Amino acid sequence: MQRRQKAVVWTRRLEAAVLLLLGGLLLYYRASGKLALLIHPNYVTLVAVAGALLAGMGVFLSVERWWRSPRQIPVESHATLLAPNFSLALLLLAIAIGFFISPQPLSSLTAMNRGAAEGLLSQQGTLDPQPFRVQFNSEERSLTDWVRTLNAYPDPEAYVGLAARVQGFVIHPGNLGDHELFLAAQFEIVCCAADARPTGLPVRWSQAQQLVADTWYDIRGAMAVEDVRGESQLVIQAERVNEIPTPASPYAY
Amino acid sequence: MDSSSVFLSPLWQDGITLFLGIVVEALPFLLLGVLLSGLISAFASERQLLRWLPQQAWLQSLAGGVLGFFFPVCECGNVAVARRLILKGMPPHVAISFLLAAPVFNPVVIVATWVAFRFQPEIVVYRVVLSLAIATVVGWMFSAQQELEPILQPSLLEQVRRNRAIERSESSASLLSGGTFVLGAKGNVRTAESVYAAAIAVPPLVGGRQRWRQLIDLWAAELRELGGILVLGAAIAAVLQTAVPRQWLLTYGQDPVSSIAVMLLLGALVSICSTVDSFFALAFVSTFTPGAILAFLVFGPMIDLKGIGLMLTAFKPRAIAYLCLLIAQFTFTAALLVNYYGS
Repeated sequence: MQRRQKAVVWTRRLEAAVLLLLGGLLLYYRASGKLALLIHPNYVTLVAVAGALLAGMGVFLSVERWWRSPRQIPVESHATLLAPNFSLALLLLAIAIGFFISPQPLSSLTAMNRGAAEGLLSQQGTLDPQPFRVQFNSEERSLTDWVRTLNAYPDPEAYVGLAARVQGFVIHPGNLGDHELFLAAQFEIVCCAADARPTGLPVRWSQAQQLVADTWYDIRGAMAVEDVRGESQLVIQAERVNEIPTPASPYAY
Repeated sequence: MDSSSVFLSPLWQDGITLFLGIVVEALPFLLLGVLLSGLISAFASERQLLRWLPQQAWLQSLAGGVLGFFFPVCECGNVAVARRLILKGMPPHVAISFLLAAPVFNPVVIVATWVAFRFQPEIVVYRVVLSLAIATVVGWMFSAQQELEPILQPSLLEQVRRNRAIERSESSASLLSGGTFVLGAKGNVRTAESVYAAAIAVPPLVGGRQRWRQLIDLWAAELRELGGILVLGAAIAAVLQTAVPRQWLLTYGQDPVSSIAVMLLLGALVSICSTVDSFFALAFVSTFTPGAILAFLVFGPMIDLKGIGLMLTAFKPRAIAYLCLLIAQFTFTAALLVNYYGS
């Protein structure tokens, strides 16, 4: 009985420490900017507030449970599906993953898993039906802006000859039927990485096969229309393709 | 592919990013739900609410469902509330409606669903309306069962009967002038046992500071329990999104019928808290039909492994089996209609 009481005391102490660590993880992600890889910027403050509350609760309970006499610690009476220690182990595992494995932007494999391989990218994305921004200088349009524009006015001939400068990561879907074509892509998110959808355009570049998948490039060129897999498709005719570092905030919103 | 290349695959890293994305986005809503449900369990008086109950059975069921709006608790919290409501005199069919509607028909879950599905607002509306409608209809169907014995667990039934006997004896005693003590008819005698039962039916309220301390302990226990399930759910979503071949997901996810069946099963198995299940469901939006996503969002909060385990503390297994079958049928039919006509 005494041993059981001791085990309960340690479970409750661990519980306090886990809450503190969980809050600490959220605050660390907020301070390091890593939240940009996981969630929409609208929810960054919400996550930071939750982190502060969890950490505050963790500090209070840690002081209570690590320094108070064990007899004063309440014994478990809550009906649970998972054993308390198992729940704590799962949370600790998640916290360890969060602290020791840095989140990375989603890769081209996930882009293909989410449909980039089946259709051309301009038919993907735009989960959020936001109005596209009117820009007189076509070089200021991002990949997502181009796709939104194209979805609003789908005739590709209307854009032929316009200058383009976009940034995105490379996907080699393997079904474009032309070794000088690759896809320049970006993920769009509405809420968090779980709903990320690929969006982008095919690019014609003579050395397309030498570009490394998932690496980010700055692409300059002009818009053209080509017949890709039997369909008339807007394509960027690249004139310059330069490697750039992965942006700190790689998703479009 | 050898084992080292499997571990070096970017899909591993993507899985971790998806997992962390779901956990981080869901945690604030989980925290909000836990904080509010704790506050309600500590400070709200269910007995006051019973005074507002209408007379007709279907209206009573609807009122039970709407009651969820004022008790923003997840599945785990509301079984305890439903038990307390039954003990305090609420008919079981009203408590069933409350139990089924409360996990979705409450402000925290509606906001969380909106945050996740604001690009498909119809899913938010369908989820809320359908959950309330199913809860009302199922509760109303259970109102036909006048006898409590086939529905309630013997221990709960015993307490309900004791409480009713106490109320009857109190109402007969109230006809007497104050200060007199008379034994009523045979069934209305106040025994020491009934006095004791009345004393434990309403838990004693502890003082201010002690109550807050209990509340913080409750918050921590709920966060630990629900947080653990959230981690499991997020891991399952991440694995399904990265390890299961897209072709397989499309085969089952794009078919209007099989997609609903798969998501009903997933909803029952994953047991993820209704406050955060929208973020889990987001991971399947690109591969599963809207009806299947809706089925997950409606069925999961009402019936899942965790919920069934908790319901067994109040209801008999046979009653729970009927509940599961009825809710599965209603959800399946509604989801099928959404797949064929809803979008």
